[in-house]
Amino acid sequence: MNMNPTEPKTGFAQEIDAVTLARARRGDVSAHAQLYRTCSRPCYTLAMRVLGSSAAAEDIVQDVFLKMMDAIRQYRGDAPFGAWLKRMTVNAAIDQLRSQRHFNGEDPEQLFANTADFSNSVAADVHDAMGLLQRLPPRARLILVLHEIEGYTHKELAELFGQTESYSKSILSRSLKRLQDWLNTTRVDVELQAWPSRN
Amino acid sequence: MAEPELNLRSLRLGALPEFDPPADLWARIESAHQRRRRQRGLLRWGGALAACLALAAVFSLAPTSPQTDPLLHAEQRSHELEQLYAGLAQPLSPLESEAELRALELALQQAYDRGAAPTELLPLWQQRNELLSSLIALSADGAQLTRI
Repeated sequence: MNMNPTEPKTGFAQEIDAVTLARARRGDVSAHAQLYRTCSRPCYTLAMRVLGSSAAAEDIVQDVFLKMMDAIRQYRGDAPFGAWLKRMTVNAAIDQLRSQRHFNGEDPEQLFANTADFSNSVAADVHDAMGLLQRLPPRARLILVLHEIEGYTHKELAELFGQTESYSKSILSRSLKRLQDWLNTTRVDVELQAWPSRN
Repeated sequence: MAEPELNLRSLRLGALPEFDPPADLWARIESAHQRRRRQRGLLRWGGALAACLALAAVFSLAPTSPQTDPLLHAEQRSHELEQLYAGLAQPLSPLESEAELRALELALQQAYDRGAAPTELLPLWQQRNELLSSLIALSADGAQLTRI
């Protein structure tokens, strides 16, 4: 994973003290609650960015923390706790996209073919970053968020999706280009609207 | 001139917002976790109970295991032979052997119906086993069954 210290860190990078982790491994409910208080926000935010729906994001958080409470006994601390939990969140998001059949087909070209359909299903306000992000197809959104925000490398994405590195590179490049096009159109609209009518 | 590298920051989109989960989500997760623990506990107890019952059954059957009870052994052997015979690709069964088998099975059924003693049942099972063994051998060799 990209560990560049200048990269903006998400909440997953927060330190968890060893005592809380040890208590959580023993099944201490108050330690589980402490982990939730520290990590639920980044988990929910990642799910919201990828899935774009609060109900789906709640499902992801519930799924991840239920799994975490069972699996933490096996967590050895080889990777930071936040990275471990982030991986669980990403896997849960991928599972959810698969269950919604957003993971069918491997062709990047095909993936963007119906982008207009996705744009119809999201909020009309495309002037904000979140609104624009939601116009991308779900799988493209996932790759964009993981690479550009969560710091995943193309090698890691290739392993995650069982594809080559050029697959995620291609989708990422198309996603960014698409965002730039939408952004340019939006800016022109905004500038035009900014001038008051003389009539 | 080379195009500048395109990334999320170069798009000047502004920061993506962060989101807080609903306030009651932890309570829901905690209660789901408790529910799952209770279900697992019940399953564990059920499993332990089933294991105890199985052990009790094994111990209660121990004095009459096939090794010590010839009747049980003959019954088991008969069952094995029956499966072996049924599993043959081209079982040969001459009509008289089929009739003999049916007669033996009828005799066994009647003996059980009237609560016959093991001394009466055992020879019937042994005859059935011999007949099945010879039918299996016959099918394997492709030979004719000859009774003297």
